[in-house]
Amino acid sequence: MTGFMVVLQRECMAYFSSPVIYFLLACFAITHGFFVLIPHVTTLASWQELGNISLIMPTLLMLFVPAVGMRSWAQERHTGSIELLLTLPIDPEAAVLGKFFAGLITIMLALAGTIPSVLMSTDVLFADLGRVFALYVGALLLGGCFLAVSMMISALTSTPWLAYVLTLIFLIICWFVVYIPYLIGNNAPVFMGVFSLVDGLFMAPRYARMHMGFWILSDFLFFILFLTCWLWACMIAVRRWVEE
Amino acid sequence: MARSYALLSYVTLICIFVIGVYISDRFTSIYHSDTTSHSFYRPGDMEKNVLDQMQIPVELHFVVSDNPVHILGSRREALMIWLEQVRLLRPQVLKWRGGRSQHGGQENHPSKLLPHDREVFDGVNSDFEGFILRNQLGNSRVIPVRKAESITQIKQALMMALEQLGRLQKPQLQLFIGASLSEYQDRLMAKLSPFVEPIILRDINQDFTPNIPLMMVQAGSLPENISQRIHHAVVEGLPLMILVDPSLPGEVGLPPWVENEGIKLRQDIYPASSTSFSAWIRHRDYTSKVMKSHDELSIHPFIIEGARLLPPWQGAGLFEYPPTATGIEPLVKISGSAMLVSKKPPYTVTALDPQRQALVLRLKGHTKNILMMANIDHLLQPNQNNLYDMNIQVAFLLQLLSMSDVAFSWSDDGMDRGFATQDKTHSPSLWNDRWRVVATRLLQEHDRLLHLYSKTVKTEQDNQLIKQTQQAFELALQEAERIWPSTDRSHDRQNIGMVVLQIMVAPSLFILVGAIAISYRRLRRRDVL
Repeated sequence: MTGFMVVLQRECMAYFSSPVIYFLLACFAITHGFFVLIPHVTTLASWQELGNISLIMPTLLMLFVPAVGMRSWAQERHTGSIELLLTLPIDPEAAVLGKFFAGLITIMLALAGTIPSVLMSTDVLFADLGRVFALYVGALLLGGCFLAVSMMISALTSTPWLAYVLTLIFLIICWFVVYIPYLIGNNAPVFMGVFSLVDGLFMAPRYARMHMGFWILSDFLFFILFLTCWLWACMIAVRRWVEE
Repeated sequence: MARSYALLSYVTLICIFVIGVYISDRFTSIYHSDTTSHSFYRPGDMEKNVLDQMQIPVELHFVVSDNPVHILGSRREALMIWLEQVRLLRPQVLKWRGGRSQHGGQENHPSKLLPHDREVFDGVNSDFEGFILRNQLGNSRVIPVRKAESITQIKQALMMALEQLGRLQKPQLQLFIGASLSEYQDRLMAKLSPFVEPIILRDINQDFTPNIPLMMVQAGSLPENISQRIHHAVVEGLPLMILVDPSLPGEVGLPPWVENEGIKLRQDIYPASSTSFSAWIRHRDYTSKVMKSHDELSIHPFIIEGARLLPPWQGAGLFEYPPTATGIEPLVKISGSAMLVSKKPPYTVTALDPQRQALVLRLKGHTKNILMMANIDHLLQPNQNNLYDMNIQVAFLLQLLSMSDVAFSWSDDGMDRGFATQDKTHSPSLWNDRWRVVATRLLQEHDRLLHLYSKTVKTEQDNQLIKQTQQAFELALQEAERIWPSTDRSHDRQNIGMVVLQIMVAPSLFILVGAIAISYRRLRRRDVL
């Protein structure tokens, strides 16, 4: 794992030397605050429920994380700096992990910016801190998974914006496919049967359990497995460049 | 070569992922923990008691709406987790399925699941979301979920339905009423019959059996010898619900032996009107029990709005007043079992209208309870102006039964919620209480106005009354406006502060740090150059 820290530092410097990331972080916090405010204005019933946040968080992460991950490899290929990076005495695995953790730090910062609104929406007097903690652990794991997907797609493309769009489409399909049975009802029992078999492969129900504070070991394992597989796939793609 | 190697690796990864997920789901899903401080998902004493009481299996269908924006929303998953854990307590008596849309077209409409109970689906459309329970005997219950209902309310409604359907025998309720029942009251009893077996005692000397689960008595009309017999039965362990009538001077209504046992009723209490009862029930959000359609509920926006504000089941809809009954002795013995009557509540007095108080007093004992309620006449009186009366009265009686420790085997935890002393330290709950009082007054004046306006021929007296009621309505409205900002101010200020912090400070901080970091880098680069 030679060069992990070097890549991490370089990526962090690259992220935070650009005004774009600060703009994105600010947008994330503002959008989150705005959407969390809506239920307070419309109804007091959901004020203590955290339901609204649980819907907003994945959607925002879906929009934000690809923007963080899109430039990880596609930008390098676009500018040609990939050649330089791969000639350095750095393991491809270390490079992937370094970029991944740099992105994860950015996601953590974005999540930290939403803490006031989450506390606000749980109504400080009734705040269930255990559940708030669970919400953030779930969001971080989800963000990590999205980032791994984003990095993998970025490694397969040569333009950052193409990577962003492809990642977004992929994540939207992955996330909302679980709602298809609700839309088609119970009219297709065969489909429902198949669907129940693959139900465990989707992130949405697992995240829903997690953010509600109900932690099941298999859900944690799912996220870790998902994340590891995508990072591994990314490493395979990067190693292929090295070999080529 | 490299490409085929990569492709092979991707396929291997997908296989590893699928197998890994399968193995982890198969072998590790039992290891879980609950990080919340609320016991949303853990079955408690209430669930254990109910399942222990069940004698026959009950099938539970969890019906989810076709609408992608579910009424239950994020509560769906929580209920599924909880239901699964409840089922595991006694899988032989509780079977449940669902969580996904159970009905896509007409063939699978919820009414198809219960073909004999079509009338309960009046007003149910494809947006129906809730539970359908059916036992082996073919009895069924439908529990629709409403948007404002909390998980706790849904759980309690479910447990109550399970309790009713899981028994072979319905709990008996003896009701002693001096006057003969009108047709309306007969209908009311018929409505009660799915839940309990009401035994109307017209001649207490003939039918009185002390070993029934609960007896309701209109105390004011008790002849001396009957009163003594009831006292004797209470001493032997009969749970009793006394319906007092303290509105009439000199007729507070408590039998003398009740006072001898250490319970005194204050003279300055008044019975509630049936509107207050109605409002109380609606505040308690007991509509699911009596199958209300959404259209009916939307008639009274004040009350619906009020119900939304309620904290779930934590004394919802109750107003705490200083106890109107005091104990002469701290501990009174009744036949060897202790009934606790102390100066400060184990009991709570509830009222809705500060002018005309509804009194529901629960004295909590170790083994038995006496419930007093004002006033049976009001409760059983038909009120043509109120569309909900029948269902509300049924719900009210059931609610009282559920508090009696007898008809339903709620744990103390579950039961006490309705009558527990509310913690008044939180400003929102205090504000909720005050708002409820005002909302109820508004509703009452509103109802009265509607009634007066609906008269086709108005007398001079009616016009006067309309004027007075309008004034009272205006006053209540002014009070509502005054209370809304005044009591909620601290709450709002805090939230507005947090909104500002969120919307302004956090992003500003990011931009500030960004600006400093970038400027610093540029300065350093300039220095180097």
